[in-house]
Amino acid sequence: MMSNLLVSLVAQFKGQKAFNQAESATDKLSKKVNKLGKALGIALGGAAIVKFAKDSIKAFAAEEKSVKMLSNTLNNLGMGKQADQIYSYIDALQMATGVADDDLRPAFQKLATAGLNAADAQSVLALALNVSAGSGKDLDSVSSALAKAVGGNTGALSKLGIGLSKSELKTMSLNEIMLKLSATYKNSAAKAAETFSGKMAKLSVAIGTAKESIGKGLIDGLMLATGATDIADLQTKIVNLGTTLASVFVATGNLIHDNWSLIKQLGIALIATFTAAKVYAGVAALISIINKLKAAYVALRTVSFAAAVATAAAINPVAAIAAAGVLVATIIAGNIALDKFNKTREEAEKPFKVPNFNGLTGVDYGDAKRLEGLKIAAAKAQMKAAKEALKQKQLNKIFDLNYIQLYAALQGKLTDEEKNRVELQLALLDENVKAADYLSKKLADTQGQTSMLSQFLRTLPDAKNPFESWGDYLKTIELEAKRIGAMSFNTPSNTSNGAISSLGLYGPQGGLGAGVIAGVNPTINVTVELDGQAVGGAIRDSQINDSLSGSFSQTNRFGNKQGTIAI
Amino acid sequence: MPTELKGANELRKALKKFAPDLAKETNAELVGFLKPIVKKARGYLPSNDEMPSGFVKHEVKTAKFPMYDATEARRGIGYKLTPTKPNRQGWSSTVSIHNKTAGGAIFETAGRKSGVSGRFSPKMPGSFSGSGKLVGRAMFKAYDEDQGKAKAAIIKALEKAAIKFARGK
Repeated sequence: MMSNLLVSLVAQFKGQKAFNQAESATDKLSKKVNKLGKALGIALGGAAIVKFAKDSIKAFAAEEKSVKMLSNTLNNLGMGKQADQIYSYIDALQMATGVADDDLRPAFQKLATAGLNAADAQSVLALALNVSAGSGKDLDSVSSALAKAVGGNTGALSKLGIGLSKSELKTMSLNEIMLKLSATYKNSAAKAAETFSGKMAKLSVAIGTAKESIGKGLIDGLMLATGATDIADLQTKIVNLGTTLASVFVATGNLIHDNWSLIKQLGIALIATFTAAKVYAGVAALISIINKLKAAYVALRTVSFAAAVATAAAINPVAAIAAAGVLVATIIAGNIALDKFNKTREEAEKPFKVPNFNGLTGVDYGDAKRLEGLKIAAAKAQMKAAKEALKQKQLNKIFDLNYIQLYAALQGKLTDEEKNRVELQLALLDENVKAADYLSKKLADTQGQTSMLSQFLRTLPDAKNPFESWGDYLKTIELEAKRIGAMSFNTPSNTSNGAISSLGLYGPQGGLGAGVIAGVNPTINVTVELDGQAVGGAIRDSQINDSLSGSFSQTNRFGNKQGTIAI
Repeated sequence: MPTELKGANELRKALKKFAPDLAKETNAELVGFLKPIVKKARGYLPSNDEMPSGFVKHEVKTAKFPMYDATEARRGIGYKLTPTKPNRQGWSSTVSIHNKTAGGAIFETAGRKSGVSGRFSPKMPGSFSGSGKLVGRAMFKAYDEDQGKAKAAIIKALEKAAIKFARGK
């Protein structure tokens, strides 16, 4: 790792990187602020309160629905006058047992519908609560079964499994059933309510009741606040509220959108100022931005926000308060920012000594710099054009038949020289001078080697003919044969024991008889014996032996010539 | 603290491009001011014998801690006439001297922050000199002893070059 020890004798502030970082930091900051805003909105903006309010309103709605339904039923059954007493009883029951009135009311409604009067229904409901607590069955099932039993159908009770068999139910009257059940499950509900879970249920009931009350209060409050006479009116008001808020949001969004570049510049300027507070150049650049911001800020303050708030106030006072809060916060933040800018500018202008470096700001230098910039820009443009042309060329290649053929050729089996030729053609098509030069040299070398080989083969001496001397040799043989052929011998007359000529044995061409030399008469006596016998006797014996052994031999006269034997 | 010369980098670039002779002349002038400091700084670097034996570069390297080699360290001290990359604060050095090697840098600064105490820094030969962040035993010491003469001369040389360039000479 390289160390970073450096003494900088002369340095220059390069704002670019710092400004980029500032811009990036501003963006990040704005994102983080947005996130933070959202988080705060949830945590501190009363998400829990909102949820509680929602739940309260929901609970109140459910309560109201249940009460209305029971009230309607009681009216229909002719018990309307006792409704208040029944509600009070149910409220007391829920507080005592910890069973919610939302469960008690439908149960009571079922019992009342089954034909029981208010007093009996209350008693049976109390019994149902005991049975439910004692058996662990839910109140709805127990009250339904009891209601059916009141109607004469005890099947449901037997199915509940609460200690009553079918035979008992068949033989027992309703009173007896009720008495048995009340005896079996006596004080179960009260005992259950005394347990920890029972107490928790009681608490829960209390909270539920409170919620319902709060929900009622909220709705009443909303109605009062909006001046609504009923829920339908409140609905209209709420819709209007939403529309108003939406218009405020839209106005704010437009405002930010229209002035985004200024807001961004403000952020960049702020960070840049903090980073290099004493840099004259940075401050000088900020002055124009500040002036712009001032003008824009005044416009913002007087026109956009004011208009938005005025509109909101005209439509809905609640939204107007919210918008006014935003406006106040914005004005304060803006004023602080502007003050900071002004202070920074003044501070930066006071102690900072502008370096005496006039030479760099002269006209000539400016021209030279501009010229350099133009040259760089021209070079860049040229490079870009070249790149585009190259790209275009590459694309054209795809459909160029020459390229297609050459590339196809390269796929086949080629000798090195052929491959060189094809590659050279490609290089020429590509106008790739460097490659073409290299390949042409390579090809020339290959060709040179071929011609050298040809030359070498041409100048090779003839190989020696191994049969060259054979002609003379054969001629000598021929002459010798002729000489021998020309020789003559005298042949003497045949003697006893058979001369060769008389035997007429076929030997080599001409036989011995043919070899008689004129003028020469030699006498040759030849005695031929086989196994100590004359030839004829030996042959005969041999034939006889062969015949006796089963292999027959035939001895014929051959060509009617005397003394010729064919075996 | 370095002195800021606005447009100094641009001036050097412009000189190199449009007045190469003037650029060479200026560079030679700047080198003339920087070389004595570098030479002096190199002179403050101790030989291998003077350093703790464990810190001196040896065949068997037992740890990753950088080793000192006098020759390398001397070679590591030099000057730079081209602009450096801007640092995190956006400052680019136009003319600078540096102590690049790890061993040289350790000798330069060991004990500067936490005091010359313990087992290592008291064994370093030489003494600190300088002020602020520019305190050290070799390069910073040489720069401190120069009393800013080189810096002033360099600024003057650059201003002179700028004027010459502006006049088209």
